[in-house]
Amino acid sequence: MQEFSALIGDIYDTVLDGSLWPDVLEKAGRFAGGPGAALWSKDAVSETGDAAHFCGFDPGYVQAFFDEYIKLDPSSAHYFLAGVGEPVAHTSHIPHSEFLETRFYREWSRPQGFVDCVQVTLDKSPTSLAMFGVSRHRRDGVADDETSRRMRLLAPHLRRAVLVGKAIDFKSVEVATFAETFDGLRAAMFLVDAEGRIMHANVAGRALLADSGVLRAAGGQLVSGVRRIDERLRDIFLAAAAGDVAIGAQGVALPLVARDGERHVAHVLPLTSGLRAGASHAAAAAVFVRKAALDGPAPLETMAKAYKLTPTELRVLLAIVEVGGAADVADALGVAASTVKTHLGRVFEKTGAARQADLVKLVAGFSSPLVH
Amino acid sequence: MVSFSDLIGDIYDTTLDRSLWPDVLKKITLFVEGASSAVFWKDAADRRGGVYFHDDAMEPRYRDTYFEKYIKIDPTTTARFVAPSEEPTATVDLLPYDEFMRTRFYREWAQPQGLIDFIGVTLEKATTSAAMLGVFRHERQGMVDEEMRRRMRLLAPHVRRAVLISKVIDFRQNEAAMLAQTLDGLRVATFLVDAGGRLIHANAAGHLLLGDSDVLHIVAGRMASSDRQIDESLRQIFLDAAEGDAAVGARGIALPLATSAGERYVAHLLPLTSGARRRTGLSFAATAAMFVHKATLDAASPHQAIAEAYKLTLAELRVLFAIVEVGGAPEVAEVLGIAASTVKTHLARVFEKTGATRQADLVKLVAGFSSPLLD
Repeated sequence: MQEFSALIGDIYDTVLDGSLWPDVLEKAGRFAGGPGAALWSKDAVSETGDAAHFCGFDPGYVQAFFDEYIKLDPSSAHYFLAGVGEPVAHTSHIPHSEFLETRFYREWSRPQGFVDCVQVTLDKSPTSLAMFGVSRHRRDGVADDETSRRMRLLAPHLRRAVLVGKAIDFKSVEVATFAETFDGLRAAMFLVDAEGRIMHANVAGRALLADSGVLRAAGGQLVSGVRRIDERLRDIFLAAAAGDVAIGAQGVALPLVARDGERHVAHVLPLTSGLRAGASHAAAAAVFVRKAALDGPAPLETMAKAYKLTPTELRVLLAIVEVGGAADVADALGVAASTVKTHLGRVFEKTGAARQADLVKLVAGFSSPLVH
Repeated sequence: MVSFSDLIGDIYDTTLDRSLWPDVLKKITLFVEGASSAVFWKDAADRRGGVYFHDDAMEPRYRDTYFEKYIKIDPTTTARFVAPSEEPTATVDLLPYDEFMRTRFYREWAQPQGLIDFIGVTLEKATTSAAMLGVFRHERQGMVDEEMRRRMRLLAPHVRRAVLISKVIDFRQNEAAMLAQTLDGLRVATFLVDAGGRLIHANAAGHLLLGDSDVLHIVAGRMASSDRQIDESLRQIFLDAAEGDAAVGARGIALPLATSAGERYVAHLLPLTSGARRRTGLSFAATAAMFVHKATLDAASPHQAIAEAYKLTLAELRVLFAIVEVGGAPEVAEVLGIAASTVKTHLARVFEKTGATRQADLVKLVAGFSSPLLD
């Protein structure tokens, strides 16, 4: 009982560490009396399949099984017909002598020294089967009642471990995907708890902490170094954690200055308490920090496409936004002011803007929120 | 063996469904031949504690009075806390039984219930507190014996592991929820899509966009545009992003969009290449994040933060925003109901304080402060 209990414990260890599967399969195989063990799935319609994990097999034979021999497996139909958790051995439905005559045995099992194998269905859907199988070597002998008993004991645990493992993996992937989405943003993003401790930072956030002097991580806490600002941040984080509606669902904006004098602005979003029931490690607020300037690459291509601007018109538009008025632009581009005015006129017409300030708004509007 | 195997299976079922605990504890109580069991926590320093799960076999008032009162005088509390983690410990392991029988705790709390012994095993330990699994023995069952210890020893690692797995699941769920909620706080509509353009996740702004405007809509679960050319471009971009196409690059692609009323939007696409996703090949298969926003400066800019940053007076602030939103000095004068000369004065101060030299600079300034948050 102790040995079985330990094996079951090992099986469930895979839930938190999928890399343990090959080891666990080896132990499970030994328990069921065979050196080859595999967790695999089969598409019932196309008779194709895939091994999630295996041990004790030469990878070449595993490949050959799924390429060809899966269709010649004499027990195929029985896997589908047997109930979930019911072991099926080759020799449980055909006499051993007959099995020895099959191509499957002669071309796939025998060269590996296998004389039998037991499979058990872990899960069944209308079109596919999740299987656990153990192949028995010549010296182990064919599968018997004890083998079936042991397979029946293992099956529910293998099934459950795979299921729970997948549930965790699914959530991990979700987290990774969301995190990666934030990593794509130009704005720095931090998740902080009630005490201002940083629980998560996106790529831009980590960069900001590293060199800007706008914000730092002091003892794990997000600080600006300016007392007035830090006091406000502390108040906001505490209020957010308390679910204080006074600070507003919209959040708060704080001006910050970098070491090089560059202005930044921090926007703080309280994360509502609805989430936090029972969670000891939850973020109280999200803090977004960006340069208080129209930065990032000019959205050239997009605006040209949107308004069907010619390359020259595009150049003039951007120069107006970045350099100055028509006179300055003419100077910068080395063309006559009248030329600039003509192109500008076309730009106004095409974009529907009425004045230069509107063009700036347009460029701001088309700007990408992404990092580049 | 089968019933033991089933019991272990039931224990691990609790990782996906906490409501199964009371039933599982009933089975544990039976398996070890006890009278009642519970998963609970105790802080040995503060002498506080509580029950996480129980099998409903104890009268509620005794359960309550234990944690309200008797935990403080339970002679086993501290001793149990310092006992070696893995071993199940019974009363006699902690103090002589006749001494135990003389305690108020035994006389006032245990004896009236007919309870004569208790075996507990630590599931998790922190600096001063611990979570435990414990089972009581009633006098008709006799004291905790070697067989009961053996069975507890068999069960303990599984209960411990199940508790750990539950915590990890909780932690992940929490993480996912926090990030999802943060996405919901963004002004920019964010859509996570797969190679076929199927919508995997949309943030709040995304749902609003789909509901309020016809710039994009969902057809058979997939993001689509009613403009055929744009729809084609979308399909191609989604495929490219999934391939991790070099043409898309880490920079992403920008696509101008429009509503039927001619309102302009821009979509920016970010290919997602999360290693985790590739490894598990699971159904949360978002291969790209698409950010969609109006191609105008409509984001709220925080008045107070700007005033603070540049030390603007209220009047100067008003003029600044009017210039950005309305037009030149004459129009601003009209809208604000003040003389054009007053506007010019304030404007001059604004230029001075902000370092801007022309109106376009003021627009850039306000744009720079605009909030990424949804209002």
